[in-house]
Amino acid sequence: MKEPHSPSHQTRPPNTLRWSLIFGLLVVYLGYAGIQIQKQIAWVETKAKPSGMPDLDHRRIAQLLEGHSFIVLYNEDQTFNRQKMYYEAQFEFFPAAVVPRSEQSSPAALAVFLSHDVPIVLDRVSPKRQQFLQTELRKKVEFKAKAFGNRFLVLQPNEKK
Amino acid sequence: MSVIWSLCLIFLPGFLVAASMARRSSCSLWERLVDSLAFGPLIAMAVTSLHFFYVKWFTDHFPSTPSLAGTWAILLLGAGAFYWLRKEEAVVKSIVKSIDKSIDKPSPYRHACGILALIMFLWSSTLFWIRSHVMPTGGWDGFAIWNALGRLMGRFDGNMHDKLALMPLGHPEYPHMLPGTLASAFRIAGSEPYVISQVVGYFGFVAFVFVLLRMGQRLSGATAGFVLAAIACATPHFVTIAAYQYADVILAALNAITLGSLALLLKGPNTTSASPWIAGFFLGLLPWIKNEGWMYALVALSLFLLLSLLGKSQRRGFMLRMMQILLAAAPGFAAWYLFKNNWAPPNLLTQEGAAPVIDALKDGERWRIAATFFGDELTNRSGFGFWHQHPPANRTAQNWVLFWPGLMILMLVAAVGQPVRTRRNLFLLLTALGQFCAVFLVMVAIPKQVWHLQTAAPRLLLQISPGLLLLLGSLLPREREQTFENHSGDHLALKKAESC
Repeated sequence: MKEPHSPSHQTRPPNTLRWSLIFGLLVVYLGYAGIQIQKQIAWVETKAKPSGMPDLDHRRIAQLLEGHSFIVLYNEDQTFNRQKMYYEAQFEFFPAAVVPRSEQSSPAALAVFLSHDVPIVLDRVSPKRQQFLQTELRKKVEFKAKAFGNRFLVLQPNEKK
Repeated sequence: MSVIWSLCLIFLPGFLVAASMARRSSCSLWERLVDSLAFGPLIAMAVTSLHFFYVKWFTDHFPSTPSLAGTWAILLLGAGAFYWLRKEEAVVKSIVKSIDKSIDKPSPYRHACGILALIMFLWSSTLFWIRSHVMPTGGWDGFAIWNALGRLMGRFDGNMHDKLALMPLGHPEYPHMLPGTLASAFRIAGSEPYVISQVVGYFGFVAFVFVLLRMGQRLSGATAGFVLAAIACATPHFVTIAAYQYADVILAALNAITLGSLALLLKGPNTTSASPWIAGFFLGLLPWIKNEGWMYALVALSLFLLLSLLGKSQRRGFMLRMMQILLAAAPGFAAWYLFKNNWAPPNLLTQEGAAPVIDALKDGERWRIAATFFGDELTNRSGFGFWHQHPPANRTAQNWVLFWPGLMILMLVAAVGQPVRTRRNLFLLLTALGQFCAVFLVMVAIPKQVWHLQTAAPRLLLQISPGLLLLLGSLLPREREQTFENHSGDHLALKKAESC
């Protein structure tokens, strides 16, 4: 394969036409991108305001979780299996959670709760599900109580907070 | 205070080590700053996570803060000694090498491109921190996988194999570069605030931008570096994924250093080169950050090997270079190998053995589905990069946008009428294609194919985008190095070199 080499050690003048084209394209690209980023910033900012509350208010969840040890809700909807999956996955690691429904705005919110170190309260879960959860949770609780001792705090299935 | 102390202990030495990598006289203060921001965060994460892993591996106990501080002290002493004791006559040699035979005078747009890159960097940083403010926990994988793994590893002492089994669905098979860094930071801080994972995510983004800047500069000149950095900052996907606290942007940064350094090791139209030690070290970190990294490392190394052996002029010193690369890659490769074979459960592809993978690869429908998904991503029909995530926040309502087409147009403008058939360009093009083929094959064979394509395809393209970005950098017109214009000492050396 040929490597392009000029015999001279002298530098050539800049390729002004090519650079002008590239710079022009870059300005168009960045201008368009800048506007999109500006729109995104404006959109993301609305997520922080209660009036424009999206399906998952991460700031609210973060406030609830950071420095506190309570919360978490379990509800029943079509994504229950996914929640349950995450719940079971995280529970043994995080002494966590089942939660007031008012704070659970989406399945993803539950996952955030579940991924943090908080105790558990069951709230407004159907009797059938309560029974299932109690059975499942008690298994985990026994395990956890042995494994982590005092780190486990409360389990109050079927009780309002 | 403890959080600041924790972040300083992890990142500050990394910045210092990175700043000392270039030679004393052949690198300006500006270039040293860029080196520091490009390589520093990645060196910091690499050293911290490898230290965490190896101490855990050998002792089953947490590494102590003094032991991390001691490790950094040794590395800093080594870097300092290397910086001061390196033979300075090598400078003249390096400048002789840097006198390019086919380079232009600096582009008239160099400063303008620099200003544009700076504006875009500040603009995208604003987006990053606003996103982080609104979503302190990061995205789904951020809180449910990466940060969760970090907390798990930072909390529980003892054998990691048993502890990872506590969160079977939190992807315990993911390698530990990011979780190990987080675990160390959490332990040093004595708490697990969100700000730690946010800062780590931001440094990943900063590293990605500055690596492109530095590699573009090394390949073609400062203007090329500014162009690449500006494009990276102007793509909201990179910023958003970093703010989600995912490992993908860090993997992209590591991929960019590896590809850029290996390309520079191949003889090219300019004689700028790179250190095989640096190339090897970052190559070894590719599998250590994410599972798919091993494929990228394999593709890059194989093509480097092939292109080195094909050219007569490339073969001189080849064995030595390869040995240096593999030795430097050893800490990362070894950690990954030990982790995968002892602590990690099998991943989705390997857990069922080879038969389902072969069956999936024989299924034409799966190839069609993967091609459709990637086709949509590459033509931006599914909106690579969250360009239009403002209302309506609906992926299907996203318009055609610019990243891939924009990149192609810029490449064409840079390449037409230019001598582009160089070994470096070929290497960058083939690695980009090779890495794409590798992820494509994985996406054909993977279980739950559509779900994986929906969630992972844009991020996979992000990870392999450095190959094409660097190719653009390499295609842009080459310029004389800034260093020669600004430093009187170098003028002297340059004259001396030219008279040789």
